[in-house]
Amino acid sequence: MEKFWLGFEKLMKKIQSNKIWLSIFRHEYPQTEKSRMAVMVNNFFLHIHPVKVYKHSLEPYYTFGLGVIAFVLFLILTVTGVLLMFYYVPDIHQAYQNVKDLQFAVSYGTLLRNMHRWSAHTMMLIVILHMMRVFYAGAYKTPREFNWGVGVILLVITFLLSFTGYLLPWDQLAYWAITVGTNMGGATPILGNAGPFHELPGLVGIHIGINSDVRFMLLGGTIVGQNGLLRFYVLHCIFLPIVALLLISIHFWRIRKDGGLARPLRPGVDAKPE
Amino acid sequence: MAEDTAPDAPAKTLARPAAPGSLPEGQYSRRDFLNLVGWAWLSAALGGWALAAVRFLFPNMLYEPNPVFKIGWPKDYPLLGGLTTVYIGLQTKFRIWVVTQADGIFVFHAKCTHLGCTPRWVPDDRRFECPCHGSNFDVEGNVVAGPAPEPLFRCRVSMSQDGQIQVDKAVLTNNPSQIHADQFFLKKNLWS
Repeated sequence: MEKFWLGFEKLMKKIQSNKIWLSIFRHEYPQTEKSRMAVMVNNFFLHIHPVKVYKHSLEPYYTFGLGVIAFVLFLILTVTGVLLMFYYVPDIHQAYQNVKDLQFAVSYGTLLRNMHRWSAHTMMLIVILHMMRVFYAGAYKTPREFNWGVGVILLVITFLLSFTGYLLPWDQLAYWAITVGTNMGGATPILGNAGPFHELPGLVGIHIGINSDVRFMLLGGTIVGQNGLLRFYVLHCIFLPIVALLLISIHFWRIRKDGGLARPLRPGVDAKPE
Repeated sequence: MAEDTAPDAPAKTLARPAAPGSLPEGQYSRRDFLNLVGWAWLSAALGGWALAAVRFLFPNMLYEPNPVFKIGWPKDYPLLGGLTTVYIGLQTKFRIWVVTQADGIFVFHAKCTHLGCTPRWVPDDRRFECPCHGSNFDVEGNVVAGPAPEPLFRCRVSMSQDGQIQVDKAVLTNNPSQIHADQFFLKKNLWS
Protein backbone atom coordinates (compact mmCIF):
# COMPACT_ATOMS: atom_id res chain seq x y z
CA MET A 1 0.00 0.00 0.00
CA GLU A 2 2.74 2.38 0.96
CA LYS A 3 4.55 1.48 -2.23
CA PHE A 4 1.45 2.36 -4.19
CA TRP A 5 1.17 5.81 -2.64
CA LEU A 6 4.86 6.46 -3.19
CA GLY A 7 4.43 5.51 -6.85
CA PHE A 8 1.31 7.65 -7.07
CA GLU A 9 3.14 10.64 -5.65
CA LYS A 10 5.99 10.09 -8.09
CA LEU A 11 3.56 9.90 -11.01
CA MET A 12 1.76 13.07 -9.94
CA LYS A 13 5.09 14.87 -9.65
CA LYS A 14 5.97 13.73 -13.17
CA ILE A 15 2.64 14.91 -14.55
CA GLN A 16 2.84 18.21 -12.72
CA SER A 17 6.27 19.00 -14.07
CA ASN A 18 5.05 18.28 -17.61
CA LYS A 19 5.09 21.21 -20.03
CA ILE A 20 1.39 20.88 -20.89
CA TRP A 21 0.36 20.76 -17.22
CA LEU A 22 2.49 23.81 -16.48
CA SER A 23 0.93 25.70 -19.37
CA ILE A 24 -2.54 25.12 -17.87
CA PHE A 25 -1.70 25.52 -14.18
CA ARG A 26 0.91 28.25 -14.07
CA HIS A 27 1.62 27.87 -10.37
CA GLU A 28 1.98 25.22 -7.71
CA TYR A 29 -0.98 23.96 -5.71
CA PRO A 30 -2.06 26.96 -3.59
CA GLN A 31 -0.63 26.01 -0.20
CA THR A 32 1.01 29.23 0.83
CA GLU A 33 -0.44 32.70 1.04
CA LYS A 34 1.68 33.83 -1.88
CA SER A 35 0.62 31.02 -4.20
CA ARG A 36 -3.04 31.45 -3.20
CA MET A 37 -2.77 35.07 -4.22
CA ALA A 38 -1.16 34.05 -7.53
CA VAL A 39 -4.05 31.68 -8.22
CA MET A 40 -6.66 34.37 -7.65
CA VAL A 41 -4.85 36.75 -9.97
CA ASN A 42 -3.91 34.33 -12.73
CA ASN A 43 -6.99 32.13 -12.98
CA PHE A 44 -9.79 33.37 -15.23
CA PHE A 45 -12.54 31.94 -13.04
CA LEU A 46 -11.03 32.76 -9.66
CA HIS A 47 -10.05 36.31 -10.56
CA ILE A 48 -13.75 37.23 -10.25
CA HIS A 49 -13.18 37.32 -6.51
CA PRO A 50 -10.63 39.81 -5.16
CA VAL A 51 -7.52 38.51 -3.40
CA LYS A 52 -8.49 40.50 -0.33
CA VAL A 53 -11.85 41.80 0.75
CA TYR A 54 -13.12 43.89 3.60
CA LYS A 55 -14.08 41.86 6.63
CA HIS A 56 -17.51 43.42 6.41
CA SER A 57 -18.05 41.80 2.97
CA LEU A 58 -17.62 38.32 4.42
CA GLU A 59 -20.41 38.84 6.94
CA PRO A 60 -22.92 36.17 5.82
CA TYR A 61 -25.97 38.06 7.05
CA TYR A 62 -24.99 41.13 5.06
CA THR A 63 -25.50 39.73 1.52
CA PHE A 64 -26.90 36.27 2.32
CA GLY A 65 -24.92 35.26 -0.82
CA LEU A 66 -28.03 36.00 -2.87
CA GLY A 67 -26.18 37.20 -5.96
CA VAL A 68 -23.94 34.14 -6.04
CA ILE A 69 -26.94 31.87 -5.47
CA ALA A 70 -28.74 33.52 -8.40
CA PHE A 71 -25.66 33.03 -10.60
CA VAL A 72 -25.29 29.36 -9.61
CA LEU A 73 -28.97 28.85 -10.42
CA PHE A 74 -28.33 30.50 -13.80
CA LEU A 75 -25.51 27.99 -14.41
CA ILE A 76 -27.71 25.04 -13.36
CA LEU A 77 -30.46 26.32 -15.67
CA THR A 78 -27.99 26.60 -18.55
CA VAL A 79 -26.61 23.09 -18.10
CA THR A 80 -29.99 21.39 -17.59
CA GLY A 81 -31.53 23.52 -20.35
CA VAL A 82 -28.90 22.52 -22.90
CA LEU A 83 -29.47 18.86 -22.03
CA LEU A 84 -33.26 19.23 -22.31
CA MET A 85 -32.79 20.73 -25.79
CA PHE A 86 -31.54 17.34 -27.01
CA TYR A 87 -35.04 15.87 -26.66
CA TYR A 88 -37.25 18.89 -27.28
CA VAL A 89 -38.44 20.02 -30.72
CA PRO A 90 -40.29 23.36 -30.83
CA ASP A 91 -43.01 21.98 -33.09
CA ILE A 92 -46.66 22.26 -32.09
CA HIS A 93 -47.25 18.62 -33.04
CA GLN A 94 -44.24 17.28 -31.12
CA ALA A 95 -43.49 19.63 -28.22
CA TYR A 96 -46.00 18.28 -25.70
CA GLN A 97 -45.10 14.67 -26.53
CA ASN A 98 -41.37 15.46 -26.21
CA VAL A 99 -41.95 16.85 -22.73
CA LYS A 100 -43.96 13.76 -21.76
CA ASP A 101 -41.12 11.56 -23.07
CA LEU A 102 -38.63 13.56 -21.03
CA GLN A 103 -40.80 13.12 -17.98
CA PHE A 104 -41.53 9.41 -18.36
CA ALA A 105 -39.30 7.68 -20.92
CA VAL A 106 -35.85 9.29 -20.95
CA SER A 107 -33.32 8.30 -18.28
CA TYR A 108 -32.81 11.18 -15.80
CA GLY A 109 -35.31 13.22 -17.85
CA THR A 110 -37.60 13.72 -14.85
CA LEU A 111 -34.66 14.87 -12.72
CA LEU A 112 -33.39 17.30 -15.36
CA ARG A 113 -36.79 18.78 -16.13
CA ASN A 114 -37.67 19.19 -12.47
CA MET A 115 -34.27 20.75 -11.77
CA HIS A 116 -34.83 23.19 -14.62
CA ARG A 117 -38.31 24.03 -13.38
CA TRP A 118 -37.50 24.43 -9.70
CA SER A 119 -34.26 26.29 -10.37
CA ALA A 120 -36.25 28.71 -12.52
CA HIS A 121 -38.80 29.31 -9.77
CA THR A 122 -36.05 29.64 -7.18
CA MET A 123 -34.03 32.00 -9.35
CA MET A 124 -37.04 34.29 -9.68
CA LEU A 125 -37.40 34.36 -5.89
CA ILE A 126 -33.68 34.80 -5.21
CA VAL A 127 -33.29 37.58 -7.74
CA ILE A 128 -36.14 39.52 -6.11
CA LEU A 129 -34.66 38.93 -2.64
CA HIS A 130 -31.26 40.06 -4.00
CA MET A 131 -32.83 43.29 -5.19
CA MET A 132 -34.54 43.82 -1.83
CA ARG A 133 -31.28 43.26 0.04
CA VAL A 134 -29.44 45.77 -2.16
CA PHE A 135 -32.26 48.23 -1.58
CA TYR A 136 -32.41 47.84 2.19
CA ALA A 137 -28.59 47.99 2.45
CA GLY A 138 -28.60 51.20 0.44
CA ALA A 139 -26.11 49.53 -1.88
CA TYR A 140 -27.69 51.19 -4.93
CA LYS A 141 -26.31 54.60 -3.94
CA THR A 142 -23.31 56.38 -5.46
CA PRO A 143 -21.14 55.03 -7.02
CA ARG A 144 -23.29 51.94 -7.60
CA GLU A 145 -26.26 53.43 -9.47
CA PHE A 146 -25.12 52.02 -12.80
CA ASN A 147 -24.92 48.49 -11.40
CA TRP A 148 -28.39 48.91 -9.90
CA GLY A 149 -29.58 49.77 -13.40
CA VAL A 150 -27.90 46.68 -14.87
CA GLY A 151 -29.53 44.66 -12.10
CA VAL A 152 -32.98 46.00 -12.98
CA ILE A 153 -32.47 44.96 -16.61
CA LEU A 154 -31.28 41.54 -15.41
CA LEU A 155 -34.45 41.25 -13.31
CA VAL A 156 -36.58 41.96 -16.39
CA ILE A 157 -34.55 39.41 -18.40
CA THR A 158 -35.13 36.83 -15.67
CA PHE A 159 -38.88 37.55 -15.93
CA LEU A 160 -38.72 37.21 -19.71
CA LEU A 161 -36.77 33.94 -19.48
CA SER A 162 -39.47 32.58 -17.18
CA PHE A 163 -42.23 33.84 -19.44
CA THR A 164 -40.76 32.43 -22.66
CA GLY A 165 -39.97 29.11 -20.99
CA TYR A 166 -43.55 28.92 -19.79
CA LEU A 167 -44.90 28.32 -23.31
CA LEU A 168 -42.51 25.55 -24.32
CA PRO A 169 -44.31 22.51 -22.77
CA TRP A 170 -47.22 23.45 -25.06
CA ASP A 171 -49.88 22.21 -22.63
CA GLN A 172 -53.15 23.94 -21.72
CA LEU A 173 -51.51 25.93 -18.91
CA ALA A 174 -48.74 27.14 -21.22
CA TYR A 175 -51.06 27.95 -24.10
CA TRP A 176 -53.55 30.02 -22.11
CA ALA A 177 -50.90 31.66 -19.93
CA ILE A 178 -49.15 32.95 -23.03
CA THR A 179 -52.47 33.87 -24.63
CA VAL A 180 -53.25 36.02 -21.59
CA GLY A 181 -49.69 37.36 -21.34
CA THR A 182 -49.43 38.36 -24.97
CA ASN A 183 -52.92 39.91 -24.89
CA MET A 184 -51.56 42.15 -22.16
CA GLY A 185 -48.84 43.04 -24.66
CA GLY A 186 -51.65 43.93 -27.05
CA ALA A 187 -52.75 46.54 -24.50
CA THR A 188 -49.40 48.39 -24.69
CA PRO A 189 -49.99 52.12 -25.08
CA ILE A 190 -49.55 53.34 -28.65
CA LEU A 191 -47.93 50.08 -29.91
CA GLY A 192 -50.62 47.51 -28.96
CA ASN A 193 -53.83 47.08 -30.94
CA ALA A 194 -55.96 47.33 -27.78
CA GLY A 195 -53.81 49.87 -25.96
CA PRO A 196 -54.60 53.50 -25.29
CA PHE A 197 -53.57 55.97 -27.99
CA HIS A 198 -53.11 53.19 -30.53
CA GLU A 199 -54.84 55.46 -33.04
CA LEU A 200 -51.96 57.97 -32.77
CA PRO A 201 -49.54 56.26 -35.21
CA GLY A 202 -52.43 56.33 -37.69
CA LEU A 203 -51.90 60.08 -37.93
CA VAL A 204 -48.58 59.41 -39.65
CA GLY A 205 -50.04 56.58 -41.68
CA ILE A 206 -49.01 53.65 -39.49
CA HIS A 207 -51.94 51.40 -38.76
CA ILE A 208 -51.77 49.53 -35.42
CA GLY A 209 -54.10 46.53 -35.70
CA ILE A 210 -54.31 42.91 -34.63
CA ASN A 211 -51.89 41.98 -37.42
CA SER A 212 -49.50 44.91 -37.15
CA ASP A 213 -48.84 45.63 -33.47
CA VAL A 214 -46.15 44.59 -30.97
CA ARG A 215 -48.09 41.46 -29.99
CA PHE A 216 -48.09 40.43 -33.64
CA MET A 217 -44.33 40.92 -33.77
CA LEU A 218 -43.79 38.85 -30.61
CA LEU A 219 -46.01 35.96 -31.71
CA GLY A 220 -45.34 36.09 -35.44
CA GLY A 221 -49.10 35.80 -35.88
CA THR A 222 -52.46 36.80 -34.49
CA ILE A 223 -52.81 33.70 -32.28
CA VAL A 224 -50.38 31.66 -30.18
CA GLY A 225 -49.29 29.17 -32.86
CA GLN A 226 -46.26 27.56 -34.50
CA ASN A 227 -44.52 30.89 -35.16
CA GLY A 228 -45.07 31.97 -31.57
CA LEU A 229 -43.69 28.70 -30.17
CA LEU A 230 -40.58 28.94 -32.34
CA ARG A 231 -40.01 32.60 -31.43
CA PHE A 232 -40.35 31.90 -27.72
CA TYR A 233 -37.98 28.94 -28.08
CA VAL A 234 -35.31 31.02 -29.81
CA LEU A 235 -35.71 33.85 -27.29
CA HIS A 236 -35.58 31.39 -24.38
CA CYS A 237 -32.61 29.32 -25.55
CA ILE A 238 -30.46 31.77 -27.51
CA PHE A 239 -31.26 35.47 -27.31
CA LEU A 240 -32.15 36.03 -23.65
CA PRO A 241 -29.40 33.78 -22.17
CA ILE A 242 -26.73 35.54 -24.26
CA VAL A 243 -27.95 38.97 -23.17
CA ALA A 244 -28.18 37.75 -19.57
CA LEU A 245 -24.63 36.39 -19.67
CA LEU A 246 -23.28 39.64 -21.08
CA LEU A 247 -25.06 41.73 -18.44
CA ILE A 248 -24.06 39.34 -15.63
CA SER A 249 -20.41 39.77 -16.69
CA ILE A 250 -20.76 43.55 -16.60
CA HIS A 251 -22.62 43.29 -13.28
CA PHE A 252 -19.74 41.34 -11.69
CA TRP A 253 -17.07 43.54 -13.21
CA ARG A 254 -18.76 46.69 -11.94
CA ILE A 255 -18.87 45.32 -8.36
CA ARG A 256 -15.05 45.33 -8.41
CA LYS A 257 -14.78 48.65 -10.21
CA ASP A 258 -17.23 50.29 -7.81
CA GLY A 259 -15.03 49.30 -4.88
CA GLY A 260 -16.43 45.94 -3.81
CA LEU A 261 -19.55 45.40 -1.77
CA ALA A 262 -21.14 48.43 -0.18
CA ARG A 263 -20.10 48.96 3.43
CA PRO A 264 -20.54 51.56 6.13
CA LEU A 265 -18.09 54.43 6.08
CA ARG A 266 -15.38 54.32 8.70
CA PRO A 267 -15.41 57.63 10.53
CA GLY A 268 -12.22 59.55 9.93
CA VAL A 269 -10.80 57.01 7.47
CA ASP A 270 -13.12 57.00 4.45
CA ALA A 271 -13.98 60.08 2.51
CA LYS A 272 -17.64 60.57 1.70
CA PRO A 273 -18.20 59.81 -2.01
CA GLU A 274 -19.03 62.96 -3.92
CA MET B 1 -17.18 48.66 13.17
CA ALA B 2 -13.78 49.23 14.63
CA GLU B 3 -12.54 45.83 13.46
CA ASP B 4 -13.63 46.60 9.90
CA THR B 5 -10.27 47.92 8.82
CA ALA B 6 -8.64 48.18 5.44
CA PRO B 7 -7.52 44.87 3.96
CA ASP B 8 -3.83 45.66 4.11
CA ALA B 9 -2.55 43.70 7.10
CA PRO B 10 -3.06 39.99 6.35
CA ALA B 11 -4.72 38.22 9.26
CA LYS B 12 -2.33 35.89 11.02
CA THR B 13 -4.86 33.06 11.03
CA LEU B 14 -4.62 32.80 7.24
CA ALA B 15 -1.06 31.48 7.46
CA ARG B 16 -0.70 27.75 7.02
CA PRO B 17 -0.32 26.19 10.45
CA ALA B 18 2.11 23.54 9.27
CA ALA B 19 4.19 23.66 6.13
CA PRO B 20 3.85 20.64 3.83
CA GLY B 21 5.98 17.78 5.08
CA SER B 22 6.57 19.31 8.49
CA LEU B 23 4.19 16.89 10.15
CA PRO B 24 5.47 13.47 11.27
CA GLU B 25 5.38 10.72 8.63
CA GLY B 26 1.87 9.40 8.01
CA GLN B 27 0.09 12.31 9.68
CA TYR B 28 -2.23 14.77 8.06
CA SER B 29 -3.17 18.23 9.19
CA ARG B 30 -6.82 19.25 9.51
CA ARG B 31 -6.35 21.48 6.46
CA ASP B 32 -5.04 18.55 4.38
CA PHE B 33 -8.00 16.44 5.45
CA LEU B 34 -10.61 19.08 4.64
CA ASN B 35 -8.85 19.78 1.36
CA LEU B 36 -9.08 16.11 0.40
CA VAL B 37 -12.71 15.87 1.48
CA GLY B 38 -13.54 18.95 -0.56
CA TRP B 39 -11.97 17.67 -3.76
CA ALA B 40 -13.49 14.22 -3.25
CA TRP B 41 -16.94 15.72 -2.78
CA LEU B 42 -16.56 17.93 -5.84
CA SER B 43 -15.29 15.07 -8.03
CA ALA B 44 -18.07 12.77 -6.85
CA ALA B 45 -20.77 15.37 -7.52
CA LEU B 46 -19.49 16.42 -10.93
CA GLY B 47 -18.60 12.84 -11.88
CA GLY B 48 -22.07 11.63 -10.96
CA TRP B 49 -23.55 14.45 -12.98
CA ALA B 50 -21.41 13.63 -15.99
CA LEU B 51 -22.38 9.94 -15.84
CA ALA B 52 -26.08 10.81 -15.57
CA ALA B 53 -25.75 13.22 -18.49
CA VAL B 54 -24.12 10.54 -20.64
CA ARG B 55 -26.88 8.06 -19.77
CA PHE B 56 -29.45 10.75 -20.57
CA LEU B 57 -28.09 10.92 -24.11
CA PHE B 58 -28.99 7.29 -24.79
CA PRO B 59 -32.75 7.33 -25.52
CA ASN B 60 -34.94 4.53 -24.22
CA MET B 61 -37.49 5.00 -26.98
CA LEU B 62 -36.99 5.55 -30.69
CA TYR B 63 -39.29 7.03 -33.30
CA GLU B 64 -37.55 5.27 -36.15
CA PRO B 65 -39.27 3.02 -38.69
CA ASN B 66 -39.73 -0.57 -37.49
CA PRO B 67 -36.94 -2.69 -39.00
CA VAL B 68 -39.43 -5.59 -39.27
CA PHE B 69 -42.07 -5.17 -41.97
CA LYS B 70 -44.13 -7.12 -44.53
CA ILE B 71 -43.62 -6.64 -48.24
CA GLY B 72 -46.54 -8.60 -49.80
CA TRP B 73 -46.96 -12.11 -51.13
CA PRO B 74 -44.47 -14.24 -53.07
CA LYS B 75 -46.80 -14.06 -56.08
CA ASP B 76 -46.02 -10.35 -56.25
CA TYR B 77 -42.40 -11.20 -57.07
CA PRO B 78 -42.55 -13.67 -59.99
CA LEU B 79 -39.53 -14.99 -61.86
CA LEU B 80 -39.58 -13.22 -65.22
CA GLY B 81 -38.14 -14.86 -68.34
CA GLY B 82 -36.52 -17.60 -66.29
CA LEU B 83 -33.83 -15.10 -65.30
CA THR B 84 -33.02 -13.93 -61.77
CA THR B 85 -35.37 -10.95 -61.34
CA VAL B 86 -34.59 -7.83 -59.26
CA TYR B 87 -37.48 -5.75 -57.82
CA ILE B 88 -36.43 -2.22 -56.85
CA GLY B 89 -39.93 -0.88 -56.09
CA LEU B 90 -39.35 -0.83 -52.32
CA GLN B 91 -35.97 0.91 -52.48
CA THR B 92 -37.32 4.36 -51.54
CA LYS B 93 -39.68 3.14 -48.80
CA PHE B 94 -37.62 0.40 -47.12
CA ARG B 95 -34.19 0.62 -48.79
CA ILE B 96 -34.31 -2.99 -49.93
CA TRP B 97 -34.25 -4.92 -53.20
CA VAL B 98 -36.24 -8.14 -53.57
CA VAL B 99 -34.48 -10.76 -55.71
CA THR B 100 -36.37 -13.73 -57.16
CA GLN B 101 -34.39 -16.75 -58.30
CA ALA B 102 -35.58 -20.05 -59.78
CA ASP B 103 -35.57 -21.72 -56.37
CA GLY B 104 -36.71 -18.90 -54.09
CA ILE B 105 -36.60 -15.29 -52.94
CA PHE B 106 -34.12 -13.26 -50.93
CA VAL B 107 -33.85 -9.58 -49.94
CA PHE B 108 -30.85 -7.24 -50.20
CA HIS B 109 -30.24 -4.29 -47.91
CA ALA B 110 -29.71 -1.53 -50.52
CA LYS B 111 -26.52 -0.17 -48.97
CA CYS B 112 -23.06 -0.19 -50.51
CA THR B 113 -20.55 -1.98 -48.29
CA HIS B 114 -17.93 0.69 -49.04
CA LEU B 115 -19.28 3.84 -47.36
CA GLY B 116 -23.03 3.31 -47.23
CA CYS B 117 -24.47 5.01 -50.32
CA THR B 118 -27.42 3.46 -52.12
CA PRO B 119 -26.39 1.75 -55.37
CA ARG B 120 -28.83 1.69 -58.29
CA TRP B 121 -29.93 -1.36 -60.28
CA VAL B 122 -28.79 -1.07 -63.91
CA PRO B 123 -30.78 -3.66 -65.90
CA ASP B 124 -28.54 -3.43 -68.99
CA ASP B 125 -25.43 -4.36 -67.02
CA ARG B 126 -27.38 -6.58 -64.58
CA ARG B 127 -25.41 -4.92 -61.82
CA PHE B 128 -26.00 -2.75 -58.76
CA GLU B 129 -23.82 0.29 -59.38
CA CYS B 130 -22.89 2.72 -56.61
CA PRO B 131 -22.84 6.39 -57.72
CA CYS B 132 -20.44 7.50 -54.97
CA HIS B 133 -17.22 5.61 -55.68
CA GLY B 134 -18.11 3.23 -58.48
CA SER B 135 -18.51 -0.06 -56.64
CA ASN B 136 -20.44 -2.64 -58.68
CA PHE B 137 -22.23 -5.74 -57.42
CA ASP B 138 -23.74 -8.59 -59.41
CA VAL B 139 -27.24 -10.03 -58.75
CA GLU B 140 -25.76 -12.28 -56.08
CA GLY B 141 -24.32 -9.21 -54.34
CA ASN B 142 -20.70 -10.07 -55.08
CA VAL B 143 -18.27 -7.21 -55.71
CA VAL B 144 -17.34 -7.05 -59.39
CA ALA B 145 -15.79 -3.57 -59.46
CA GLY B 146 -14.76 -0.68 -57.26
CA PRO B 147 -13.57 -0.24 -53.69
CA ALA B 148 -16.33 -2.14 -51.84
CA PRO B 149 -14.58 -4.61 -49.51
CA GLU B 150 -17.34 -7.21 -49.15
CA PRO B 151 -20.56 -8.46 -50.79
CA LEU B 152 -23.94 -6.80 -50.26
CA PHE B 153 -25.78 -7.70 -47.07
CA ARG B 154 -29.04 -9.67 -47.11
CA CYS B 155 -31.94 -9.19 -44.69
CA ARG B 156 -33.54 -11.89 -42.59
CA VAL B 157 -36.75 -13.09 -44.27
CA SER B 158 -39.61 -15.28 -43.10
CA MET B 159 -43.15 -16.21 -44.08
CA SER B 160 -45.65 -14.48 -41.80
CA GLN B 161 -48.94 -16.08 -40.68
CA ASP B 162 -50.93 -14.39 -43.46
CA GLY B 163 -48.60 -15.72 -46.14
CA GLN B 164 -46.77 -12.42 -46.71
CA ILE B 165 -43.00 -12.11 -46.81
CA GLN B 166 -41.68 -10.55 -43.63
CA VAL B 167 -38.32 -8.72 -43.71
CA ASP B 168 -36.14 -7.95 -40.71
CA LYS B 169 -33.55 -5.31 -41.56
CA ALA B 170 -32.01 -5.56 -38.10
CA VAL B 171 -30.56 -9.01 -38.88
CA LEU B 172 -28.18 -9.02 -41.84
CA THR B 173 -25.58 -11.35 -43.34
CA ASN B 174 -23.26 -11.60 -46.29
CA ASN B 175 -21.51 -14.72 -45.05
CA PRO B 176 -21.48 -17.25 -47.93
CA SER B 177 -22.24 -20.06 -45.48
CA GLN B 178 -25.39 -18.29 -44.25
CA ILE B 179 -26.93 -16.63 -47.28
CA HIS B 180 -28.67 -19.84 -48.38
CA ALA B 181 -29.93 -20.71 -44.90
CA ASP B 182 -33.72 -20.63 -44.32
CA GLN B 183 -33.30 -17.45 -42.30
CA PHE B 184 -32.05 -15.46 -45.29
CA PHE B 185 -33.52 -17.34 -48.26
CA LEU B 186 -37.20 -18.25 -48.76
CA LYS B 187 -37.30 -21.53 -50.63
CA LYS B 188 -39.97 -21.87 -53.29
CA ASN B 189 -41.59 -24.91 -51.65
CA LEU B 190 -42.84 -22.66 -48.82
CA TRP B 191 -45.66 -21.30 -50.97
CA SER B 192 -46.01 -23.59 -53.98
